[in-house]
Amino acid sequence: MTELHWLEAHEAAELIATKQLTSLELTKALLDRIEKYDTGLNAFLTLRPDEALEDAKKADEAVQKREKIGAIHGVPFALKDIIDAADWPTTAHSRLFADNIAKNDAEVTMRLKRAGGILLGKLSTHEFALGGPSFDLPWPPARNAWGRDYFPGGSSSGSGAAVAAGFVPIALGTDTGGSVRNPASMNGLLGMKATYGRVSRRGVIPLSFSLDHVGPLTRTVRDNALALSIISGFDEQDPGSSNVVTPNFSKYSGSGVKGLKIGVIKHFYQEDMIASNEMSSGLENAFAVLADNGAVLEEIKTRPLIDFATCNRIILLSEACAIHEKWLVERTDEYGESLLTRLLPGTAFNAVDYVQAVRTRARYAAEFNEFFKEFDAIVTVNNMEVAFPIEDQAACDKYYSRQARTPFNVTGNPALAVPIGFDGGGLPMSMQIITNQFDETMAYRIAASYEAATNWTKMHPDLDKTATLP
Amino acid sequence: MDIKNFAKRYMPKEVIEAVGSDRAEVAIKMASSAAARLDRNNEFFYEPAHVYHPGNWSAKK
Repeated sequence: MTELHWLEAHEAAELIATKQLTSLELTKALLDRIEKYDTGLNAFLTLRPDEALEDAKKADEAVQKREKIGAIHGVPFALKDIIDAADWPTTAHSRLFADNIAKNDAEVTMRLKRAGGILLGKLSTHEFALGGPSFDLPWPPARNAWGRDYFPGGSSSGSGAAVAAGFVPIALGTDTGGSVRNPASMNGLLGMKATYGRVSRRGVIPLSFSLDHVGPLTRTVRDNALALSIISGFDEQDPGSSNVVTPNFSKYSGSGVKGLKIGVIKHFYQEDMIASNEMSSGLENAFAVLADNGAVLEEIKTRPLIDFATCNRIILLSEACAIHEKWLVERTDEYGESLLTRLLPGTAFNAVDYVQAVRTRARYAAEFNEFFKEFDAIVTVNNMEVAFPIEDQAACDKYYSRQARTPFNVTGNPALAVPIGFDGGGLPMSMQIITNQFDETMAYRIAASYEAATNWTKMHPDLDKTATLP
Repeated sequence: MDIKNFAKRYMPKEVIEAVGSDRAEVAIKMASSAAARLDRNNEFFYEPAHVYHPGNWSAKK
């Protein structure tokens, strides 16, 4: 059997359901691994081992009693610490919320528990999902599972580190300007930002109401499709929730990419920004794999990255400042420097800027979605470089914003981060697959075909070398 | 679109006092720059992206 910590969620669920493995064995194994290695990675802010073990015992009893069980029965998961779980802290990795205890489960937490998942802990994030990586907060920042000296991406940084390290097979993150896909990219994971409205945001501390998405990070395509199937669905208490029917996203299986028409946006990384040579080569190799498997690839051009990024920033920071307005003045000293620096421009935009940005957003989305009359999907770069050294502030300032994720927060389309290999230093690289609104299944279909043709999602970090303290 | 009349952005004085003039100056520059870059070429009929539907305002059951 695969080592327990590298079991996929669907594999573990199958083994537990068929009594070849107990949830208690699995949960213990993951807790032991966290105890051994998380001092080097700082992925978790809150762990409750006793509670998790108790839940695991109950899960095993349900199997023994042949009760009806869910799709991830007995399988541990973890949450970015802006997502509520009843009676757990939700700190947003901030002094401001250090004593905040959630009263209820977020909708997504409730759905994962209802599917049988065992909540293992709450994960490190950039402060309020915006500022970071920060060294001036009560908790240290998470570090990259492939090398603890490196940035793990953000803002769902703990989610990326935890899944890549084999601490949990599924973690949830949030994505307002790319914060699921960034840690997925830098930790060699699958990370899905589904269509806006597909996944409820109720019970999640907002960053920007109209751009926030909740999404899963996993090590494989199949687990990601499974996790999205579990957390998706209409929630009448989320004003942005869509009542479009939720399919079983796992039904991409065996479809392949033969005959699919895929647009390639190269100007994002060849003109608007210049990606590193290794990233460019990695992308070309990945696109060649899709072509070799029968997809028809054609270069397309959309607006430059700066247009989308500007639209995203004005909306995001304006909405964020509506949330932080009072605290910014009354509790200024409790903010970390990184969050304060990123948030403050939002107090200077005027009402017309914001309204023009949300009008522009509608136009950009309409323009972009015209592509899907002709194309089944679009592929492009994720980050322009691999992870930078986390303690190098100059590198952070230089590389943090060099990415192509914000366009799809603006347009609301599904965007899936997919690992495409490693650079010469052993750090993960990534591409994005973007599909028509509510067609996440197509993204999984293409990703699964690519995954089957490569070995990237089977490769894991050796934490004895990458995660141990000096 | 000529947006010169709107080029300078301002920060509420309460915020400037709270965060200090150095931080405020940097933030104002960033906001002014982003506002100037925004593509405002919207036709009059383009409504905001997140116009609410009446259903969103109805009483929850």
